[in-house]
Parts: sequence; structure tokens; C-alpha cells
Amino acid sequence: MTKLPTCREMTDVLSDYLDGQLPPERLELFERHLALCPACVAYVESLRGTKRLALEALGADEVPPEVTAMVGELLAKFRQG
Amino acid sequence: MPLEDLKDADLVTLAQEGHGEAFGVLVTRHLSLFHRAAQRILGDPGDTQDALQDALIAMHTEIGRFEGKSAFSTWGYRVTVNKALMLRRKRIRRREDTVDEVLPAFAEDGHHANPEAILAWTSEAEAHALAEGRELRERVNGALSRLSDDQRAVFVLKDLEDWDTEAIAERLGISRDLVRQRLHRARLALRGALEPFVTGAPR
Repeated sequence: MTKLPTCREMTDVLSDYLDGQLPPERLELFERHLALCPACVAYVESLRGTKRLALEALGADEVPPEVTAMVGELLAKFRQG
Repeated sequence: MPLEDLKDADLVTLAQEGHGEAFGVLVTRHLSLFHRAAQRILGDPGDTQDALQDALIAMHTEIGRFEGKSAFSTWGYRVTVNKALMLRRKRIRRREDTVDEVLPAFAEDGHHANPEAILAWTSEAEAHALAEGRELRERVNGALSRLSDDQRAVFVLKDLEDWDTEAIAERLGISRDLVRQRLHRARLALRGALEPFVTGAPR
């Protein structure tokens, strides 16, 4: 039986796992470790959560008024040539 | 027909003929897309404004050469990302990250050293963090500012702007392997920097 990766080894390949880049034989070992390790399950989910938090925090569609004002002045300059 | 009702492609044609109002309508229509990309790359509002200004001047200068192979929004977005990355390199130049202390820690046997802290990141804890709009934003910006310029660029382009690895490697002039390595370290670091905020652990 092939030895399961440690939590450290799991962490090393986490990005590959999240991005679907783990080759099948390593994926199988990865998932067998996950089935036994709540901390690694939580860690994987927290990495997904990190992306969710960053997207939410930096997702504002609103342009601040000072930026709108700068753009307005710039466009007026362009029109004047 | 008012300019606002015209499609982008028609506005581009007018703008290329020197119609200043048409250029203004185009830019205003897509300003939030451009602004958000610059903001994510730079963080600082003043730098964001400067990059956006550089980008709009470049778009205005270059619109005559824009061939319409992509949408105007895609072209303008690329111009903006380029200007933001250039400004970041010029002003900030953070070659080294400062994230060692927030990277995961392991016991000698390779197990997580602090499983309790990891298990405290529950979906409820995350929902609370998500509800803290302004503080969340500050925390995420603080966490991003600990990354090196390249790590930050890779994380923003991959995880927030949804670029593929190949395009990022090409844009930043680094190998795909290096993109993957920087992305990985950036993700772990960001997670670690946000952990105390999400789990309410003492900092």
C-alpha cells in the first residue's frame, strides 16, 4: 500500500488540487488523506473561503466620486483637443 | 439617436473619427470594470486613480489603431491592467514578501501544528467576516500588501480576474511553474493573514 501524504505534503499540492491539476494517482492519495483528516478538509475549504472573501472585499462596482470627477476633467480635455 | 444608445462598435468608429463625446460614452460605460481591475492590482486609491488616468490617456491616443478584433471593453481592460502593473513596478517594487509568520505551521511528524485554529474557520465564521464590509476590505488589502509584487499580481489576475496561468506567465514574463509557485504561496499567505479575523482568534 502506498504511504499517504502528510498534512505538510498535502498543503504543498493544495493549489494544484484546487485548480484540478493533480495527476490521478496523486489525487487518489490526496483524497484518501482528506477522508481521514478533518483539519485538512477544513484547510481546503478555508482556502476556497479566502478567495470568496477577497472577491467580496475587492468586488465593488462603484467608482468613487473623485475618480468620476478626474475622468470627467480628462474627457473634457480630450474634447478640447 | 443619442450616443448612449449606440453599441460599442459604433462608438469606437465615431471615436476613431475624432468624436470626443463618443469616446467619453465608451469610457464611462466601462469605467467600473477598468477601475476595479486597477484597484485590485494597486490597492491604494491614489495609485489606482493615477493608473486609470494613464490608461485613459493611452486609450485615447491609441484608439485610432484599435482594430476591433476584441471588444472595446476587453481592449480597454488590458490597457488598464498593463498601466496598473507598470505603476506598481515603478512605485512599489516589493520584491520580497513578509508572510513567513502567516504560512501554515507543521509538527515534526508533518501534521498540522494548530488544527484547532484551522477547524475554527467554519462557514458561520466566514459568513460573519463577509458581513463586515469595510473591515473585511481593510483586512484583505492589508493581507495583499504583505505579498511581493509578483505574488500579488499573480493572485489578483488568477483568483480575482480569472486569467489562465498561460496568460499570466506571458504578461509577467515568468514561467508557468513560477506562476504556480507564486500563486500557491500567495493563497496560503492570504489565508493565514485572514485567519485571525475570520476565526476571532487573538492576534
